[in-house]
Formats: sequence, C-alpha cells, structure tokens
Amino acid sequence: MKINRDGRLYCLVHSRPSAVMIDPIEKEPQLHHKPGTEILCVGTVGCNFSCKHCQNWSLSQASPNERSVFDLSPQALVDAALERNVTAISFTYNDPIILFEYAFDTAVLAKEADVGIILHSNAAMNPEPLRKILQYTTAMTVDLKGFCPEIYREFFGGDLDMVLNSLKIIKEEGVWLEIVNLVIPTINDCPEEIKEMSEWIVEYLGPDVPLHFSRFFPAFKVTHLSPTPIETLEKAHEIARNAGVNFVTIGNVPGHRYNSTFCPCTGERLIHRNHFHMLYNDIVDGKSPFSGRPVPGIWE
Amino acid sequence: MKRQIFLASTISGFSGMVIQMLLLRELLVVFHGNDLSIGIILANWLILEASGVIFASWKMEHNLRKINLFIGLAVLLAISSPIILYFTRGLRDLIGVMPGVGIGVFSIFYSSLLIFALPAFLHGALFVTVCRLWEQLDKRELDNQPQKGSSPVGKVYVWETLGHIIGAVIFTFVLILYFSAFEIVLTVSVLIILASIGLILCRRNGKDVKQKISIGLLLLLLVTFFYMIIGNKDDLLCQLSVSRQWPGKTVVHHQHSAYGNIAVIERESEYTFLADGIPIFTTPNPDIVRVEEFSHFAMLAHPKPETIAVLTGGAGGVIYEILKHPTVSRVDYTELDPLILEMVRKFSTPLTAKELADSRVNTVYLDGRRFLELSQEKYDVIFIGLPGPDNLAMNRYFVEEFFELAKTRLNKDGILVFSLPGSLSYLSSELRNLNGVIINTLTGSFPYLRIIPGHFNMYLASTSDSIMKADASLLYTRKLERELDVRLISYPHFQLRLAPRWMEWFSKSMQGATRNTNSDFQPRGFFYSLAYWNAKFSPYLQEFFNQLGKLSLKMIVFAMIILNLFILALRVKAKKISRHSIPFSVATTGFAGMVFDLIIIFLFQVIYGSAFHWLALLVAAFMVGVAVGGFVMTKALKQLKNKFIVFRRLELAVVIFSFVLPLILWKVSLYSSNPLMFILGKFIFGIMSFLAGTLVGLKFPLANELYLSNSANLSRTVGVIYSADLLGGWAGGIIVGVILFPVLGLWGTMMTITMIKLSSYLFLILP
Repeated sequence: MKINRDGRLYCLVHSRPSAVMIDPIEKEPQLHHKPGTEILCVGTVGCNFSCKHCQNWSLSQASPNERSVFDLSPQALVDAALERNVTAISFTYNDPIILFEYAFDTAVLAKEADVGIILHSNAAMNPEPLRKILQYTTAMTVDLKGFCPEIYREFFGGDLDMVLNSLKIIKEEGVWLEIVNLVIPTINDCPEEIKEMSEWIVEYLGPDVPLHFSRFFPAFKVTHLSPTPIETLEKAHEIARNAGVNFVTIGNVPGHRYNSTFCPCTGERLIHRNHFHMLYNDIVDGKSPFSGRPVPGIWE
Repeated sequence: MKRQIFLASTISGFSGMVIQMLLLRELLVVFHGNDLSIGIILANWLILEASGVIFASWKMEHNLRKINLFIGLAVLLAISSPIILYFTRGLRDLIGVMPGVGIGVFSIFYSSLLIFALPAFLHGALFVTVCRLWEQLDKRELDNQPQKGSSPVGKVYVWETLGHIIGAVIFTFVLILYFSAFEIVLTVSVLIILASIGLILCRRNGKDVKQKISIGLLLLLLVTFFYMIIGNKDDLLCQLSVSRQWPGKTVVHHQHSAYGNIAVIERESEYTFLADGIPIFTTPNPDIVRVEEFSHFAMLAHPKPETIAVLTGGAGGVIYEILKHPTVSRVDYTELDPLILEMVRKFSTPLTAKELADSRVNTVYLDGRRFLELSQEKYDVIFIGLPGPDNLAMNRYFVEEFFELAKTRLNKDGILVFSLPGSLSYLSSELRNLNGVIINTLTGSFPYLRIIPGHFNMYLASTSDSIMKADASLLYTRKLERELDVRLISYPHFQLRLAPRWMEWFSKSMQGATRNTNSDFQPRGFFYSLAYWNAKFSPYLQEFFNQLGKLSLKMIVFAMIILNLFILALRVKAKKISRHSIPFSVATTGFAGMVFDLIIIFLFQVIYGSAFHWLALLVAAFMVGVAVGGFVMTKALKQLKNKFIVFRRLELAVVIFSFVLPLILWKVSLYSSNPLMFILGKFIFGIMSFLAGTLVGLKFPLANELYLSNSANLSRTVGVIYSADLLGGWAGGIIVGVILFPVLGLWGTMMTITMIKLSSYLFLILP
C-alpha cells in the first residue's frame, strides 16, 4: 500500500477509497457513542492482518490496482459527512494503518469542521503514529481477536503484545474506546482465555471499557467451522462481568437480551437495542437514571 | 493358474475402484465439494496410476519373480489403504491448515497427490504385474501350441475392467450405504490378501520354505484384518480419525449417504449439520439474520401467501419462520438426501421438531427441480434454499430453463426467492459477474426483479409488479397484521435494508458485469461461482480465471489450426515421429472418453436432478463398453488383416461420435417432460455411455498390437499405451469440468473434442 519513489514513501490508497457507505453507528460497534445516529464508513484496499474469516476480504486482501476506487480527497470526505449530517467518519472495512496518511489528513480537517472520527482497527500500530492520529480521533473500536499469542500469529497474522500496548496507549490518550471480541469456536472460545482477557481489560483499561462478544458465522476461508453457540457467548458475557467489566454486550444475535446495555449497579436496561437498532435510550446526562451512576461514553 | 490370474485382475480392478471412490468421498469432506475438486482428485488418481504403470514397466523387464512382486505390491496396498484413510481425515493437520479453514486449488492438487500417491501408484503397478504374469502363462502355452496376435494386455484389461464395474456397483448400492469407511477398506484389504494367497497356492512347492513363510505371513495379515472388522476395531479407528478431522468438537454422528457425507456436531446444546464438511445449518439457534430476512421479506412482499414450495434448505429455521404466517396452508419441502432430515429428527430441537411435525408441511425426498417438473401445484412463493450455483447440480436452479419452469408454477403475484453471495462494502469483479449472470438470466423470464443487497443478496422475482411496491411501511403493516413474533424484523430494519441508497450503490457497482446468461447446456453461473471461490482461496489464479471467462470457440479453432500446422511440419521434418501417432491417438481417445463420460454424467444430472443413483450405472455402462470393446477387439485381432486401417476407422468413429452424442442428448432433454421419454431417456444415456466406452475399449488392444509390432518390449508398450490413455483421461477430467463445459457449453465442448480427434486422425493418416 506504500511505494518508495526516490527515497520517499507514498501512500497508494490516499484519497482512493473503494468503499464509502452510510451505516448505523451500532454496526461499528460503538454502543456508547451517540446511539441511533449514522456514520460515514470509509475503507480502502489492503490490511496489515490476514484474518482467515475476514468479512471484507475482497477489499482487505486486495492490492491497489485490483479494485476500483472513488476519487475522494480528505476535504471531500469531510464535506460528504457534513452534507449527510452524520455523527462521524469511520475508517473501517480494512485497518486504518494501511491508509494512515489519508485517515490522518481527514482527521485533521474533520476536527476543524467538528465532525467526529472513528477508527475501527486491529490496533497493531507502532506507538508514534498511533499517538499522532489519536490527537484527532473521537473514538476507537478495537478488534481484540483473542488472548493467545500463537493463535494471534497463526490465525490472524498479528502480534498480541503490540495490540495490548496500543490499547494502553488509547486509554492513556483519553480517546473513547470500545472492544470487540469475535468468539470463534475452537479458535478463541476457551473460557480461561476469555477470563484472562477480561481481567487484563479491567486491570489496564479499566472496568468501564465496553466489551462486545460477537457471534461468528463461516466467512471467507473459514468455511468448515460451526457458528458460535449462544451459550458460549452467554458464558463469555458472564465471565467478563465476573471479572469486573461493567458494560458487556452480545452481538450478531438479533433479539438477544444482551444486545442491550444494562446499568452495572441495578441491572436495569439502559439502552434497549435489537441488532443495529436502538429502540430506546434511558441514559440521562450521561448517567443511569436508576442508580445515578455515570455511564461513560459520548452521548451528546 | 489362469483362474487365479483372472481373479487377481478382477480383485485388483475392484480394489482400485472402491479405494478410489472411498478416498474421493473422504477428500470431498476435507476440501470443498465442487466439480473442480472432483476433477482434480480423479485426474490425480489417473496420473499416479499411470506413474505406477510406467515404474512397473521399467522395473519388470528383468524381474523373474513376478508373483513375488505382485504379492509385495498387493500386501503394501492392503496395509496402506486403512492407514491412508486415517490420514485423509487428518489431512488438514498434516498439511498445516488450521481447523475450519477451507483449502484452495493448489492445496487440493498437492494434498490429493499425497493421499493417492501410494494406492493409485500401487494399483497401476499391479496392472502391469498381472499383465506380465499372464504373458508368462501365455509363453508356456505358446511352447505347446503356437499362436499369433493374442495380447495379454487386452485380456488383463478386460478382467481388470470387470473388477472396476463390480466395484462401482457394489460400492454405490451396498458398501457406502451399509458399511463404515473403515469396514469397507478393511474388506478390500482382505480381498487383496486372498488374491495373493490364491496366486501363491497355485504354484505350491512343498519344499519351498520361503513360500511357506509367505503364506504364513499372509494368513497372519488376513486374521488381523478379520479381527479388526469382527472385533469392531474399525469403530475405534473411525472415532479416532473423526476426532482428528474435527479437533475440539463433539461429532455425534458421521455417515456417508448415497449423496455425500453428513456429520452432526454438538456444542453447547447446539447441533450443526454438515454436508461434505460444510455447515449447512445450526439448531436451535440458526443465523437469525439470514433465516428471518430470507423467509419474511418474500412472505411479506406477497399479499396472501398460502401455498409455498421450499426447494432444499428449509429445515433449521426457514420453514419455522414461514409457518409463522397465518395465511400459509401448505408447504411442500423437498430435500434430495433423506439422511439430512433423518439426522434432524434424530437430533431434534424444539425448532426443528415444530417445523417438521407441522401438518401443513409436506416433505418430499426428491430433487427440487424435478419435483417442480412433476408437480401440477401452483405456488405463491417458491424458495430456493441454496447458496448459489456452487456446483453443476446447484447451477440447475439458476438457469433459464429452471426460471421458465418456476414461472409456470407460480400463481398470479407469485414470487421466486433465492440468494446469492454479496457484500455490503465492495463488489469484486467475481461477485459482479456471479450476480450479473444470474440477473441477466432471471430478467429473461421475470419482468419484475427486486434485489435486496447484503452479505447475501436477496432476489425476489415475479411476473407481477406488486413486489416493486413492497416498501418498508407495507411490509411492516403486513407484519403487524399477521402478528409475526420475530427477533430481527422490525420497522427500522426494513428501513435500513430497503433504503434506496443500497440499491443505487448496488446498481452502480454492477456496472461492467458480464452480459452472459446461464443455461443447462452452458453453465456460466457455475463458472463464475468457481471464479469467486477461487478468488478466496487462490487469488494468484484470479487473472487466469478472468482470461478463461473470455475464452471462445473461435480461439479454440485458431489454436487447433496452429496445432495441426505444427503436426504437419513435424511430420514433414521428422518421419520417425509417425511412430508416436499411436500413443497420441490413444491419449486423445482417453481425453475424449473422459469428456464423453463426464458430459453424459453432467447432462444426466441436468435432466434428472441427480446422477448419484445412476452414477455407478453410468460409469459401469462406460466400463462395460470398454470391456466389451476390449474383448471383441482382442478376439478379432487374429483375424484382422490390416489393423492400421481399422485403427484409423475407429479414430473417425470417435470423431463422428463426438458430433452425434450432443445431438442425441439434446433431443432427450427436449422430450424429458414426456413420462415415457423420461424413463426411456435414462436408458439412452446408459446406451450412449456404453457406446463411448466401447469406442475406447476397441482402440486399446489394437493400439497395443500396432505399437508392439514396432517394439519387442511388452512392458514398455504397456507402459506407453496405458499411460497415454490415463494421461489423456487426466487432462480430460481437469479440463472438461472447469474450462470446456462451464465456459464453452455442450456444443463448444463437443466441437473441441471433434477438432482434437481430427488432429490425431490427421497425425495418423499423413504419409
């Protein structure tokens, strides 16, 4: 995605997104971030991981000349976001590190125009560029794909330590963070691993970082695995809650009770969701009306 | 001695066929069951068998202990077969593929070579060994009564083929249905050992200690195999191998049916049903998004859906959702493989129990397309529960012939529903072409088409414009009227999924898609599906598939002209090359034979829904043809005065056959709706298969005889001619399923064969 021309490194996907869509913010998922609003999702080709179950494989595993592109400068993206009155521009589909320069230039302009920036990332970034872009980022959704270094390397093609370090940096920089864990049977569904991951989140990121367990369905190259049993997701939910994570949800299971967000003190439903749709939001001034406990997030 | 050699040839043929078919089925569970995989697997068997033939031909020239060699090879085959079966199930682990991850073309190619290396090689080598044993016997007889023109290869070929036929029929109708894979393979091992003992005993020498030791060891092996079968050790092997195949999972059932392999995995009280290793549905918690969207969008788009047809894929949620509509009075549900629903009933959950026990549901074990042809019912909604034209069998539901049929089976306002792979971020060229070819085909039959883009693009087709008016508010109103208790479908969901921006994006993204259509005799849909599958697993072949899509008959004609000019130049420059015209002719006949065989099977499938039950009979008819042809020619060799002229005439006969075959099969398809022709047509297929085999069989002994007349070396002749035959077959197996039939269609394929055979005829007749 980068090319060395006369000693200078050029980003081949700058201003050349292949996917530009409007989606509910819940699809990201950003569940503590202006629920019920829409975002402008942007992605290019290429990725630094090679996840075998990637839903966006036709983009993430392609090279620049293999896919058609839009000609959209950072300013054009910000203008489009303003025109459509979306909450934020989200760099998603592939990892933002691939289009770092594009995302950064857009983020700078977006901040000036008061448009939010969301990065949906695997967080395998070096600290310097990460800290640099976080200065202009509103929120991040990080795919924490498991807690076993070997599986991380073999199945996803990434480095767990690097991801964990990035998560700490995001927290330090004060950018709103939500974590997604796609639970894949026999790959990363071991209860001990989920417990270890949850405890790490509580210890290093704090108990209020939302954690979303998502149901896996066969995709891309992973054609021979069963979908995640609902019971596995419910157990993961229980493990995370017991480990001290306050806001745990279950995704990809429409109609499940834990699509919604609950007050960690009283257990009352705060935000009622079904799949990507918010049905109602009872949070008032960033607090639970049932306990008065602050609910962290971006609500206004 | 003669009898024992007949028996050894027949058992060798039987074992080869059974082991090949069993490993093919097992490999399809490991790989992906499309026709490309089948082509590669079968072709690799042929090439390895040919290498066994060549190897044995070289090695046997100076080997005097031919019986010992036969026994050595046979014992190795008997011992290695169960071990190979075990490792086939653990193949993913063996080649370093992570659990649950599919395998691409290159991996399919080399891993099937790895699995077949020993059995196919040994089987090929056994053929040559038996030929040599026969030759020894013949020589002894010749000392007493001189004969001319009798080829041992031809005789062994006939007996070996007889073994193949028996193997194919018994495997399909008995073994695979009633015995486990390990029972089958151990039984084959027993037969091989028995054949070896038979051969030793016929040369019994009471003073030979080595012979006694050999018999003792063979008996020990025999007892061991018997013990494993009778002592249920095959069950243990089965359990161990299945746990290697699905590591970390509880496989509660694993069985081959006439149509494929069905496995059931239990995890956290959920059952996932797998067909040939691929999950088809999970109960009681299905993919809610897929199941609800697939069922309710179409059901709600219809003002009053009463009669419904679900052509496969109904169990596990779709029928459960359909039955929620109070208007429904009847659901005709077809599933080809009864074992699927047998398993669903065995591992019942509240969801499946409710949907299958409902009195409105009429389950029919029949191919869905055939069901529609036979049924006189008319439906309000017809669901095709298939993921897309993933193989030639599935492709039949996405062709113009089927869409025309479905149109006649729909009531006014009736809707045909299916889904195809899609994306909500980017449509690659493979996705564009796959969706495009079906859209082009569908719009030829249905004036109104509603597409709902998604990870699975939903297609609703109708002759009524009412589906175009079904917006979010109308669907939601009907949902309320019908009091549907659902988990996903809601007004905001309708709004999101039916938002005009998605359709605008989809239409823009589809620009540049193919203009081709999909039909029974030109299955382009299957080709584009294959290209899509390939893009996932072997992206380095993307460009190759892109170029393949542009292949036309004109290009083939041009290539053949170049080839013929090349042959002409070669013949003029090097006269000695003419000697190779015989193996070249055998290779092209092997190629044509394989194409005839596969085309007959493909078209049988197209017309009759499935070739599975008739597969063995069609293959057997072909093999009987080969055996009869071989037998007749072997007998006639002595009387033939000018063998070369006969050979040339046979070459022409193949050319004519490749022209006549598609005409006859096309005619059969035209009249298949007539009940008499429907039955008669099957026999016509059988006859054509027999005739195709006969042509191949007639040429083989004659080619041997002609080639042998220029060479005193029998083994080398066997090696060259048999290998040429197998190599031709190998090329035919790979090329016809991927390139010729899907891209060029029936007529293009047969024209190509005609041209190839004309080339080899030219090579033969040039002075």
